Amino acid sequence: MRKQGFLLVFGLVLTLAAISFPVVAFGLENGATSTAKKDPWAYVPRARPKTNHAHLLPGPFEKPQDVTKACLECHPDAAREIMQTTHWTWLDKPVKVPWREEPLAVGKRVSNNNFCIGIQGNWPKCTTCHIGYGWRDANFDFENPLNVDCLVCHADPALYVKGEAGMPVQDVDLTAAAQSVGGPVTRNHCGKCHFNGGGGNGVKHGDLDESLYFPGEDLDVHMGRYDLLCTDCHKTEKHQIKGHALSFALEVGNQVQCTDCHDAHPHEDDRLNGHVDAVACQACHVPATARKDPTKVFWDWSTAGQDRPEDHFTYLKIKGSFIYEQNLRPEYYWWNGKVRYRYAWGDKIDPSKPVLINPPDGDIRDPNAKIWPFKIHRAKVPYDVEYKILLQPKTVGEGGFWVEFDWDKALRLGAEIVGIPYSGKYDFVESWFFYPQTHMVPPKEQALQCNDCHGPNGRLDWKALGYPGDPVEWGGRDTLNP
Amino acid sequence: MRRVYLYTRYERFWHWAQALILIGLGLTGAEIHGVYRWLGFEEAYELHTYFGWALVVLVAFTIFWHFTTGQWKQYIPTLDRVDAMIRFYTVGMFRGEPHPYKKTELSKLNPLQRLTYLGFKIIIVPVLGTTGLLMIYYNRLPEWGIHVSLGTLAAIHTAAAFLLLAFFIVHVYMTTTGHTVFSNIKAMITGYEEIPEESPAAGD
Amino acid sequence: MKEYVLSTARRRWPWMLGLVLVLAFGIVGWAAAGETPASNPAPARMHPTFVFLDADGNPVVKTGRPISTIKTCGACHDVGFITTHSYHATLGQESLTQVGQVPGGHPWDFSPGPFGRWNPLLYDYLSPEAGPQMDMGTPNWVQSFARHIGGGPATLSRLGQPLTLLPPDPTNPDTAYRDPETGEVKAWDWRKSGVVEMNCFLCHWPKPNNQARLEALKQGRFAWASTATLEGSGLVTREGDRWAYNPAAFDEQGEIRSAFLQIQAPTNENCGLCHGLTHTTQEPVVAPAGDWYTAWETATTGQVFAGDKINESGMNIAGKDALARPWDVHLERLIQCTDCHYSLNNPIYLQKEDKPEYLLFDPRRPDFSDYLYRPSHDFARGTSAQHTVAPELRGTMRRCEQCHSVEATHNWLPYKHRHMAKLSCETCHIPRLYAPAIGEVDWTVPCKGMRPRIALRGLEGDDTVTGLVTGYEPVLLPRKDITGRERLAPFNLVTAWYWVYGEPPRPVPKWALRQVFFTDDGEYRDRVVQLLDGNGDGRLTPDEMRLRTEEQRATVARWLEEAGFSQARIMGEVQAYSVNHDVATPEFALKDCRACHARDSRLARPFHLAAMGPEGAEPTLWLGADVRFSGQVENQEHDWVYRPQVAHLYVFGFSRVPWVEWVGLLAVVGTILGVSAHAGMRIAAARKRMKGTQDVRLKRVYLYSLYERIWHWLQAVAILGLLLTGYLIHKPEWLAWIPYKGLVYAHNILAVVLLLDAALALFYHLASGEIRQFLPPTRGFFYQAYQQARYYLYGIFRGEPHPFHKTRERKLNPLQQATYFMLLNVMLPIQGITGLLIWLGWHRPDLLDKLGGLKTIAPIHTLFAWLFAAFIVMHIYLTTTGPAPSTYIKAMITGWEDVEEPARERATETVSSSQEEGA
Repeated sequence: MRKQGFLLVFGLVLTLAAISFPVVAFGLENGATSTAKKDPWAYVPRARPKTNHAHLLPGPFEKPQDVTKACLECHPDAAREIMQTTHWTWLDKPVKVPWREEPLAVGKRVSNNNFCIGIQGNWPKCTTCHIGYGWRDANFDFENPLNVDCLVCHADPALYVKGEAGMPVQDVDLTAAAQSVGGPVTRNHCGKCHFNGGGGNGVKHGDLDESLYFPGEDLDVHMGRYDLLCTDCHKTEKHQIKGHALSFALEVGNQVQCTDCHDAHPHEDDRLNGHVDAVACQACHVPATARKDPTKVFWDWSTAGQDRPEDHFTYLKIKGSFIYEQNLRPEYYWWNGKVRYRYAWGDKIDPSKPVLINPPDGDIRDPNAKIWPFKIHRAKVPYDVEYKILLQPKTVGEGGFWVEFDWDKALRLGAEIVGIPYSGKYDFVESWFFYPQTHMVPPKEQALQCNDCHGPNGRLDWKALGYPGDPVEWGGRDTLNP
Repeated sequence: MRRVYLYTRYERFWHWAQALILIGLGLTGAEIHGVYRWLGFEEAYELHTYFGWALVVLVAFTIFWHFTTGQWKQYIPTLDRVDAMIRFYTVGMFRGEPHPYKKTELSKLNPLQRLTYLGFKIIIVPVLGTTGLLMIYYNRLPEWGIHVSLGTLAAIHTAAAFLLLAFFIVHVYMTTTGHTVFSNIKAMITGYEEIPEESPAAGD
Repeated sequence: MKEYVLSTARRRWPWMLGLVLVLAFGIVGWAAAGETPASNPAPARMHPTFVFLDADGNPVVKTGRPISTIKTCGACHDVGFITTHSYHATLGQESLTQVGQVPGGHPWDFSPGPFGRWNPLLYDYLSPEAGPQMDMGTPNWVQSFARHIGGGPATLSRLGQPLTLLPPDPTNPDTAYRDPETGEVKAWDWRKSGVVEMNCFLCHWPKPNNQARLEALKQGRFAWASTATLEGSGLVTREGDRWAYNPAAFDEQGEIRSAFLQIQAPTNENCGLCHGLTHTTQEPVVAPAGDWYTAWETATTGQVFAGDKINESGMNIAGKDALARPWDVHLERLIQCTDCHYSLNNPIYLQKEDKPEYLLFDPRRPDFSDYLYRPSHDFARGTSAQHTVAPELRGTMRRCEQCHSVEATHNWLPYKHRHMAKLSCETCHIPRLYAPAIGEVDWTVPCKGMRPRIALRGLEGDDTVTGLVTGYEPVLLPRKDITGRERLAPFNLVTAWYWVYGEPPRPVPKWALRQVFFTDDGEYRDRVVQLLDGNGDGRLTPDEMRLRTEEQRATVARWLEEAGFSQARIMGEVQAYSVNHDVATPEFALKDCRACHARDSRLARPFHLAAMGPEGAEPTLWLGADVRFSGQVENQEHDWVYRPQVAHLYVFGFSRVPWVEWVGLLAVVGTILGVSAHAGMRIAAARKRMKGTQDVRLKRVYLYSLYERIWHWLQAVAILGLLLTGYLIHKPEWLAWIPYKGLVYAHNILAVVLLLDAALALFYHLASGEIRQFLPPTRGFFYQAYQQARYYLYGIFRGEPHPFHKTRERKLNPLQQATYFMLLNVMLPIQGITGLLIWLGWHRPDLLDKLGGLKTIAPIHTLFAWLFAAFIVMHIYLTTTGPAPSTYIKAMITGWEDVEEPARERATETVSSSQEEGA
């Protein structure tokens, strides 16, 4: 029987061979050899179940700091972790940059933008969105862990609202808010500040606004169709949240990338995959920005202070005149993830040209640069005619422009606080602030197609990007001389 | 004497077909190797390739035949009485001693044959076949991820061919060691062999 | 299809198009032309400046006369070559024939091209001779067929003389002119009107002013047509009924200042002026306001020449959200019209036919300077354009397969070569058109303003602006391409109804129709209202404008008779308009096998033709040059339908040969009934003799070697699998959830398994001599067969022993031998060969076609599959006829069988000497 067994094995092998031969032959004919792509779902973190804190935090809490103290009893490291983050410091670490001698540290705490220009002297209003309690002036104690506001990210957003200097508003029931913690950090937590950057819904970013609380799948495929949360991409460990805004990026690093979850060459078509070396995913997959709620594209401070009819979208006496746009076509630049330059208080400007506050770094010869879509906020902001530097007005509080409408006074006070000279002569200069567009990704069907960029009516200015002409005809940057 | 039907029709066909093919391979191979000049290199090369393919087909069918009919069991190696066999071929046969092994339908091969033929079948022919096929497809080897020089392949192929030649010579000579000088060859032609009916000298 | 009344009589479409263009670009164009045109840099601005010359060769800035393109462009380019190598100019004038001699034409046609071939959609008939019943003379044609770019018949007479040399003569069709206002025939003085030279600017100038050109033609100021095209470019302005040159645009020598020069290679927009809806801006695609008929190719087929996504269109298209695909993938990927329809001697595209085989590329060809001097204006075309247009240019274009590798992209498709051999690429890649197309045109009762009634297919509602565009699935007709292969390709069918008179017939002139139906102020005559007003409200609703009864038809025929048109009768014709554009991206191409491989196959789906046809008239299918109507027209309660026939193809899952189905079914059902009856009788008989069984001694015999068993079961599995998958391929409506493609692959794989199994088994049986088992004995076979048959029909019920006893040497009884002999020598080879031939169609469709094609081979395969099924029923039943019902099956599993021991052998037991047994 042993020999029979051998024969049986042989027979089975022969049978298998007889079956597998045609299967392989037809399989080859079929040629279905598509390489496996990365499965995005494998990279989405699992939601942790909610821990009910109601019985853990019986309260009552008098001051918000009491809540923090209670939190720290069980989470002793939490405040220290938070205090390392830019969410707390509003200031990045100093970095050696090519355009100046001493290292540069940027951050909301010290830098400017071209919306409300700067927080120094204007703290209580601006620090409403700070995750701490009581940042009223330059003397705020960044080292006190009890000032950390746990509730703004962890309490039920319906039960907790922050006011001036980041303090909870009058009617907040701290006990109820504290007892509501334990659930996931939702879009509402992030959105309260980030969707309202610049002082209102959608003002600043173009790709972040309140329409993302409940987005349709056409608006944002990730959050609308697949119900992702901010923290699913901005993965968080020890309160360090992944992601880094361009306006603060002096170095590349810590960026959230599409390729964190998606394959680097995700398309079926080789020609599309050929694009990814030179074109950011966002360039095609964010075909338009501010698709639902409008965003501010222009702000003229020089017209502020006039008594004319006011309207949130066109003119406010305290701020001047604006232009909002919806469904805005982005502008396209090479970008390698850092800024080429970042304006810091005291830097000289050339008033004959627009001041580029944070131009993206990179060009066609930079192998790390890709073509990115940007929203640019253009604003006329005050500058010192004599010293040729930008100026920061004091806006809120005593002597502030929003109270007295006196530019000279506001700028003088502001310059004092910031520590820059002021000659008494001011004018307004156009400035540009760049925002790379990366959120609000619509379903792939709405991505740009060939003729949106290529051909006689394409949206890209090839010459400005450094190409000799349309790469369809002239070849991509890899064919150019090094 | 007893007439025993030793070799089935297919076995005989296989044997002689293989013999012809191997002779053809040997002759053309020698010409490719540069031993003599008759057909010309190109012609010899073409013929050698055809013979090679013919052998592949024949061997494939024969393997199948061996397993389906159970004839593979003839090659199960054994060391039983090998010493006697060696003694017979070196000493006994000159003294006219009887063959120490009796052929039957169930067991046609003596232990020494079993070992030799098995070696022939699982070493020499596979080595020749593999190297031969690799040389036929030499131009496409890199795209299959095989990197080996033609020289190495040819050297192995030639070495195995010389082994085969040695086997061939011994094999032909051994056919004459039967009951009569031609009885073995006749058996491979007719299928029947005349076997002495006396009881074997040893082992029983 | 809904009715939709449109204008054709006055050729309003170019006006409308011009209006749209002016609205869209006019202001921008003006501004751009006024300054430097650098805001839209295009490579074609390399063109050097030149002097606009008049017909006498003097600068027009000085003389103020119309621009002569021949003189102006001829200063550098070989206009002699260009005018003679331009079908766009000649339009069939070079192939004039006797009336009625045009192959595939109407009995009144006298040219294969638009100059001399009548089109029922446009209606106006260029008359072969002048006379009182003349419809149009050449001057009328120039005004009427305004898509003509000039040159050809607008400069030369039918006999080849310059028109300006002809004396004005109302009896010469080249100089006779029927005044569209008064209806009277006059002489036309070409010297006064000038001729229409080839209009270079229409194609070589961005945003040419087509509207102004059409006005110039309409006013009969032919010489000015080219000049008018430049209106709005900054070079030319209109002053009253003349055009004047802008002195700022020219220097002292009369040369154009380079800032004003915009000569360029033709763009899609230039082509779109005459050929259909093109779109190159970033704004959404919309239907031309009001009149879809303005864009000719779009109107006749629904093709839109745009790279924009359909879901971003401004049109109201059903299910638009899901259509995230461009109208045409080629345009989306930046292919221009001229990339496929290139100039035939453009060095980039030049294909040298006579190059020797050993050359891949022949560098001996015209270089760019040669080409620029002497560019052919004959453009590459396929075989698809309608009718007989430009016959000498047929197939000069690259077809899909000459740019695309179908090999590399269709590996997912079973039998890809076979599909390619029978289907044109367009069939799957243009599965549907998403714009309305004309389906039916009725001239028998013209609407006010002498328009036909038109029904659009693919539209729900009244017009393209407010209606819902549903689009339509084109009909598939066999079309011959340049290689002579006939393949199914998509088409739109347009039905037209119209009056003819006399013998040989001629279409009733439009002016005569107007006289019969309308008063001088363009209202219906009272008699017309009385005749057609069904509801008696004194007005004609669109539905009433139709000849619904025999009597109405006869009445109108009588009116025409009275007007001098004897034997007036209605003709209906169906013309096929091919669909080659609007190619879908791969994911929108037709990939569902069951779209065609099913009972309601797309290949045979009825296509609606006409619903407005007059009573008693029947539409005739018109044979195009390349298209064949394989089906027929059917009348379904006044709805005319075209029912395609694909009898020339065998489509798995769709085609069935009735008698094969019946015979096969009968064989299987008959066998089942037979064995059921036999089994019933056996059971009944066995019960009767329950107790009195004979004592049958059984002996265990080793019958089947391991290999034989493996062979048998592998074969069994393969055959059962083949029958099952084959049945599902044949009738895909069963278990429609199984992917059809998977069934086909499974069937093929099983077939190869069976083939290998059978081939090895054949070798085994030959080499081992077991083949003897299957050879019927040479002697006594018939008697033995009789004995065996008698046993099955009689003995078995009595419990008699089997007449033959199985041994290792003889396993099969004579009937089995006969059956297997049949099976293995006839049925299996036939199934194998027919199957192989069908499979061969995958790679060598030509070989299959030589053997009668699938339509011969496939039914044979089906028939024998049925017979195999019948055999298997019988075979399984007979395995139960052993000593116990399961004996035989067990034997085929273990190899050992309990064999009845023959009485006479019981005494002398022999030992089996099977080798395998020895283990």
